[in-house]
Amino acid sequence: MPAIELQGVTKRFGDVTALSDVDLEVEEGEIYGFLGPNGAGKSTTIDVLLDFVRPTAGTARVLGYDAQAESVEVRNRVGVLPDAFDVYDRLTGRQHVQFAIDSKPHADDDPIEVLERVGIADAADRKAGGYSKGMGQRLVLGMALVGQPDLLILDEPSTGLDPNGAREMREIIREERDRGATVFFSSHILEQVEAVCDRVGILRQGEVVAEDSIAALREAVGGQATLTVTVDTVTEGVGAAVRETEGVSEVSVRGEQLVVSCEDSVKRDVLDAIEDAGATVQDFATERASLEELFAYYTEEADVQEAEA
Amino acid sequence: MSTLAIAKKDFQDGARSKTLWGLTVLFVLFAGGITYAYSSFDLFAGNEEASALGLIGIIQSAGAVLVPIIALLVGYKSIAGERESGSIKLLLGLPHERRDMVFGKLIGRTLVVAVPIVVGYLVAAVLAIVLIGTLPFVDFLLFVGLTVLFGLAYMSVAVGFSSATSSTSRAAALALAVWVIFQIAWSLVTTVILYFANGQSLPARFPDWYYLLNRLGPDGGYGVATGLLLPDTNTALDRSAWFLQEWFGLVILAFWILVPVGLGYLRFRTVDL
Repeated sequence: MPAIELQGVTKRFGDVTALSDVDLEVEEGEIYGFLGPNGAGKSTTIDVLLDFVRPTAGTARVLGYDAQAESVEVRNRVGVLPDAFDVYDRLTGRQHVQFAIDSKPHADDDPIEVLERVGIADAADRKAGGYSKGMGQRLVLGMALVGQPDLLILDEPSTGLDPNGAREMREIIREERDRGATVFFSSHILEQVEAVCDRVGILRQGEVVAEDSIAALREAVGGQATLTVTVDTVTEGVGAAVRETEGVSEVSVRGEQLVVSCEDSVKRDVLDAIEDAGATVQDFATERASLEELFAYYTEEADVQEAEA
Repeated sequence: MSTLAIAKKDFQDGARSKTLWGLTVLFVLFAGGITYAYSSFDLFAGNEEASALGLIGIIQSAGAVLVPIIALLVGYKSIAGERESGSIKLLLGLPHERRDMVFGKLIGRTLVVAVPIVVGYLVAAVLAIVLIGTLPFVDFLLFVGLTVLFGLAYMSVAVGFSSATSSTSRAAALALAVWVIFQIAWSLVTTVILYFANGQSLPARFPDWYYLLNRLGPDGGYGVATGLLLPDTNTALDRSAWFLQEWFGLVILAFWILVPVGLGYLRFRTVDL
């Protein structure tokens, strides 16, 4: 049984289509990264899972339950860190966690232990209205952990966290996965996803454009690399020669540097082409494709397919 | 259980905001002040029993003005405010039905209004026994209970509007409209209706339906039902129609407790947050 299963989910708000025929499957026990730029429909997808909004068409199942008809059963077993939330300003951190415990029939957590785990036990008896953004994020993560949920749904969990906080967040996500929970989290920050996810789905303008493991996604893009070459003088001839080399997809010039996107296997050819064009290579560095480039590749690819269709 | 968890959280929120304490002080000053002032004028010339009943009548009339405005102010943000701020995502991310949220809010916020009413009126009761010498204690307790139900009816209006709209300013405007209609304009409205229904003149003997219409608001229900406890008050009406008997005030009050919040819930149940 998949932890999350969306079939043909479409959501329109008036004339605006937020989600278009989304199919998605998240397996039990995996960390699934839900990636896409702001406005792609990530939060709307999560809103459908939690029955905050009702889909125009399609079905959503979470942990085997219908996300609309059996939403309370779903939320009994799910821990949620939403986006764009606000804490209850006048309630303390402890009261927030206690409210989550009171709300879940099988939860018997100790509020202080929960707050210790997310690193804000010191502020347990202060009003949450005085918390920083990052502390609010930790507090609500703590509420999500109450009752050992089978599935954690985290919407942009690192919002407002400093690098240290983001690292602690990733540690908790891994601990929860090792406990047996499934983790579904959305992000537009690629490093976050890359650092912790087993699989990724890429959402763009309300459509899932790719879904696979990170390694497989890299594979699919075909071992792309970025080559940064420093030469003595950049002439037009050098740029043209590189551009004409087979396997090169993009060349840009930054002062004395050429930044070349190409297949991993043609790096030698690129360097040769530069020397043949009369320039001297002083230094060069290569990087494998970042998720950023992966992401651009997939979203542009989808554009091409759309244009062809 | 879910409803009560929300009611508890909401009541804590109200208690933390000092609203609860402010309102308690207000009601102690209000009810205690009226009792003190009333006992300084010996209107019933030593008839302690009549004097005590007169006091309840005065507290009733004054409370009928104070309770609605407070209930509407405490309640109008209850749901729309959470939608505006986004805290509703915390609440409904937990396993609560939307029904639990609406009725939990109704209970929690009503408690924020009920505790000050009970404390203030009990202080008035103690003062009355000291200063006047007697008080029909059971009737007074029933009167306090009735006043809490009156607060609940206006809270139902406030929470109902707050669930039916996504913006607190719209909820506030709707609550204000209800307040103006029933606190200021109602008797004028009913008289105008009678005037036109009777061919642009007022009849010598007003029909039964006019009296019913006049008391159909929450204020009317509360006033009429208080007549059950206070014999011979000015709400007493010498008509035999069943719907003009004092017990019918309880029916009107029940309507206002159940229907506004019920309609608000029906709207809120299916809305996209």
